[in-house]
Amino acid sequence: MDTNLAVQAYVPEIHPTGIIPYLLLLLGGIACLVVDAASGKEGSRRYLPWIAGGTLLAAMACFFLRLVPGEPFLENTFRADAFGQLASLAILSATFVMTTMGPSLVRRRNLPSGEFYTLILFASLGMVLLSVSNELLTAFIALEMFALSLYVLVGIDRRSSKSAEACFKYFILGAFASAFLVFGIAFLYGATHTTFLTEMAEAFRTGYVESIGPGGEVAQVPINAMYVYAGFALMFVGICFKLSLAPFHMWAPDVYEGGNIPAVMVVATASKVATFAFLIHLVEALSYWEGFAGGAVYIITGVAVVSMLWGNIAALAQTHFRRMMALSSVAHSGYMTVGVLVLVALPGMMSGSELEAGQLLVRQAVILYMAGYTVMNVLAFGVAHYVGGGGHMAAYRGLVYRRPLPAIGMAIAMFSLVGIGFTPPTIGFMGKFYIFKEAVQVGFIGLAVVAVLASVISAFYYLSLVVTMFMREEERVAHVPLAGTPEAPVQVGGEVLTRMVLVTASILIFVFGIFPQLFIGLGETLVNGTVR
Amino acid sequence: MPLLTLIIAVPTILGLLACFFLPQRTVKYAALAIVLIDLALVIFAAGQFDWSGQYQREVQSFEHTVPSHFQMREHVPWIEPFRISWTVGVDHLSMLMVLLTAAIGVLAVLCSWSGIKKREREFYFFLLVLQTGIMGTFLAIDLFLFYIFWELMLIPLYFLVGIWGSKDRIFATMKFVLYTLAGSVLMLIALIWMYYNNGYYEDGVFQQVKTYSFEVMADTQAEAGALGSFRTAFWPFLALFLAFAIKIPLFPLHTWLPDAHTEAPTAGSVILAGVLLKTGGYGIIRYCLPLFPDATLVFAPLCTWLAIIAIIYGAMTAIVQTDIKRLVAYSSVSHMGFVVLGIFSLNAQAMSGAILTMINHGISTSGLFLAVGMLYERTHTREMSKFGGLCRNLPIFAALTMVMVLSSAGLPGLNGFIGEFTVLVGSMSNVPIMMQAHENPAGFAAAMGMTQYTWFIAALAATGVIFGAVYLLIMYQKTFFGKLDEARNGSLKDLVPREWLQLAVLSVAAVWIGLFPRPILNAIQPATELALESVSVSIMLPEDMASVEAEEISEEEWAAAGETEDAASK
Repeated sequence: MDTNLAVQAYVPEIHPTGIIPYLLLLLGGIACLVVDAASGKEGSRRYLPWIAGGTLLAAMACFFLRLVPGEPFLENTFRADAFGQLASLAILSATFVMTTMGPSLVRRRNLPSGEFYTLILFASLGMVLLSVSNELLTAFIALEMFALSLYVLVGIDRRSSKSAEACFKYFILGAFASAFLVFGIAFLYGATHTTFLTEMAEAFRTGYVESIGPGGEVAQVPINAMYVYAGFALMFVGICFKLSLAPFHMWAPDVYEGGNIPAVMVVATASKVATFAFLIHLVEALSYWEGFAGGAVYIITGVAVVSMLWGNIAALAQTHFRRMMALSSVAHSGYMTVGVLVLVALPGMMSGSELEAGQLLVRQAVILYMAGYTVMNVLAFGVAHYVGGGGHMAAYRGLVYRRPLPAIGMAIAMFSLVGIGFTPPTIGFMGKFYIFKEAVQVGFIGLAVVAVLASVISAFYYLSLVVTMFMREEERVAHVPLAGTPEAPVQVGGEVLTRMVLVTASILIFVFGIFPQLFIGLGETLVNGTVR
Repeated sequence: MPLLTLIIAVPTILGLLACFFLPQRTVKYAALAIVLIDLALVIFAAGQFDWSGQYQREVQSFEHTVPSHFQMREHVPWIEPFRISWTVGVDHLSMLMVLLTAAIGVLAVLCSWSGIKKREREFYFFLLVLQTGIMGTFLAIDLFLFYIFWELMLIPLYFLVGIWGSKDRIFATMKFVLYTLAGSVLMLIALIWMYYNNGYYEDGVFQQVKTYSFEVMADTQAEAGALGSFRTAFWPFLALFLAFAIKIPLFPLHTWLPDAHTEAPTAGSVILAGVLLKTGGYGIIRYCLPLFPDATLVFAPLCTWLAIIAIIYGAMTAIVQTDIKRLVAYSSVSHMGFVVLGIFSLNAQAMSGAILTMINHGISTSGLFLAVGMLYERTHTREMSKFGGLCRNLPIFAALTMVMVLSSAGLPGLNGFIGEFTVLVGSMSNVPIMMQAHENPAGFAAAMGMTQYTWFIAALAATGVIFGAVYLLIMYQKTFFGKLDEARNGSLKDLVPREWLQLAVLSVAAVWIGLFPRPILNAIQPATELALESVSVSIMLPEDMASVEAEEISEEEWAAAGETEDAASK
């Protein structure tokens, strides 16, 4: 390597428009802080939701205006391909919904609104960065950025002991996971001498890395297999924590139960989308290494199967809405992991342009599933927030006779969450169909069978909620909220924006369920400007 | 005019408009109008339909061009990268089923007229969506679309049973949903497998023909004959068969049926018994037999025995029931056993009988459920012991129910007899059992000391008819004859015109089919031939192809197989 390079004036390559959405989020967050600090007792704090929501919408608009390029940019650090851009949109949508729920939550629980909206923006910045990052350290910083913001957001309701418990559990285990993650990154760097995923993929493809000996001579040495295995295993453990994949899902039910609904919704949707996007990019790079599939397939299969089965079986026993949703999200992470598994297996089965096409299909399947999962969860948690439920399931008894539209929305979300079978044509069905289709294609038929049978189990508890809402009429009680749930005392509703969001989500479930290619075509349009 | 799409879409789309924008009290009239429109469309389609059985033409399904016998076919690409399309078409089998569905649909609305008092809008809406699901199931010829409609049937019935059902409705509806769901999710995996593995072996190399279109699959497999990739496919066959067998329901997968039937509102029971169970039989005839002839041959003996068990077990269980609705539900298990027996006897006569039995069961069992519903509306009980001597002040009701009971029991001169008799005669030459006995003379059948083992099958199945007469006549006797020992039953009012019209229509159909079965048997004929076409080739093949790896087939053998195939087609 020519050491003289450092002497020359070094101008980093910055894509002029590509960084705009990220800058916007950062500036929006700072603006919220400033407004909060500058306003008096109440003053201009009421503009905070508008600033936060506007920033998020503007950031989304940047993607639609095609300011962000599809190729790697900013010194190769960011790679916002169709997959990453759609993931970013899903993340920004979820956080936008969180801001629409914000005012009622802040008023109801008397929360510090400055911190609330600032942290939402910083969290979304971290998440969109993670979903497009092509470099491991950037990814780690992005992950920490949103993780720290979310710890605080989950525990922002300081007067509730449940909330404090949730925050503490989330923080301790999350910090633990981050340690694993960064340790794994170190190993991968040791193995490949780079932190860039694209360069890593190149090294894995050849199987050799350049090594500079003590005398300054450059030699090609084979990649150290143990470093790769150890690095991936450690990183995967860290990622499993974030994705609440079994057996690293223990925090999820408590955090979901204790945290406030908007924050939990973002933990369930946006943070998972971001982490999954990163996992997909990581696994894609690693999968080029011929030794990888042999070991990783077993680990990932095990995690996926245990998550799907245990998540669904444990959710059967829950009587608390958010605990149930937590375990259901464990299972859904398991389904998505099936897509990751296909990605691992693909390079062993095909090569060249065929491989690229295959990987594209898997990425499309996973992003469709993730977007669908986001919409369904936003709808479910949104309705729970809207009707002031979210606690014990008994609170939903006969809901359709008191609040018909929210109940129908919740039923749509539940049907869509069941996914396979029973509920076509919803996005939950199509997402699963796309993923299992890929799994069957590469020969993971047994895994696909386990996955669909697991979703039959899940039908029981999702439908139990529908039964509670629609069919338990004779036990109909006046809406007496149960004690102990943070939302219980105040009956809310009437936020126009939340209502609009929920209606949109319900419609999207069907639109993307009937025309899934519309969504995938959207990704292509964002990147290439052409509709396929 | 996209006639078939209209038939599928009219109930849901008009239902959506009518049920949510019209005043509450007019909803049922609107619902009746909608199902009548749908019936009119179906009858119009039947008029356009070429009943000769000669219809065939080249059709395009994405990049494939294949011959197809489906009429009024519509093909609109949907998810193009995966070759999924909105493809609907109709042949003899589905035309008959669609006619039955449209007719039963009208009855289902009429029988809910006075019984449903709460939340009428939603009730009729779900009823109409259910009709869309069933119509789509019968008309779809793209397998993915078929799956969508197959699953779409579940949601409305889940609500119909769960909201408007009787006491244990929630248990019944959850059991029904989970049972059917467990069966059908595996079908989806099988369909995806079929998409990637449809094709044939050419010089030992697999030639993939990716498609969800039934026409293309059937053509590929038929053209490839012994080299088709589905020859050795047992798991996909089993996955499909499981889904269909649960729907039929075949013993031992039948346990959801009595619960769902008993708890469902009358309209739900009528549609469930009248049409929904037929989707299972339809699925086997349409998909399992033509696509997986070898697997069919291998599993046919097992299915035959399960059908025999279902016939006898269902009938015997029905005898001991005290709840009339449960009794009729178990009688469904028994009658659908005849359907399975007829299908898996794998000869033309039994198959015709099976299809006819499906239609007959739709007529007679719907009639019985309608009658039970009318009785329940008057007395709010279904216990046989609470009735007796009803024929005194309900003469019209007693007479019409008598027709239905006798039709269900298989009295000669009524429709039930024709169907079951044809199945029994056909099962005398039960092909798979004969083949099995031929291969294994020391087996079970030989041990019975019979030279024609299949007599035994027919004899066992015939006991089902006798038992049928027993439980149905006992039920009729306990309900309508004897002393009028419950005082409150003395004040019951006889049927109003709306009610007896429903039973009268079914009675006329029963008598008509019973006396003049020729037209309907002629209509069934082409469906029978199509269903057995590829299986008969398998039967004629020189050896059991199931155990032969396709790659290992030598050219001589292939030529020999081709000759037999030609001979078979002559």
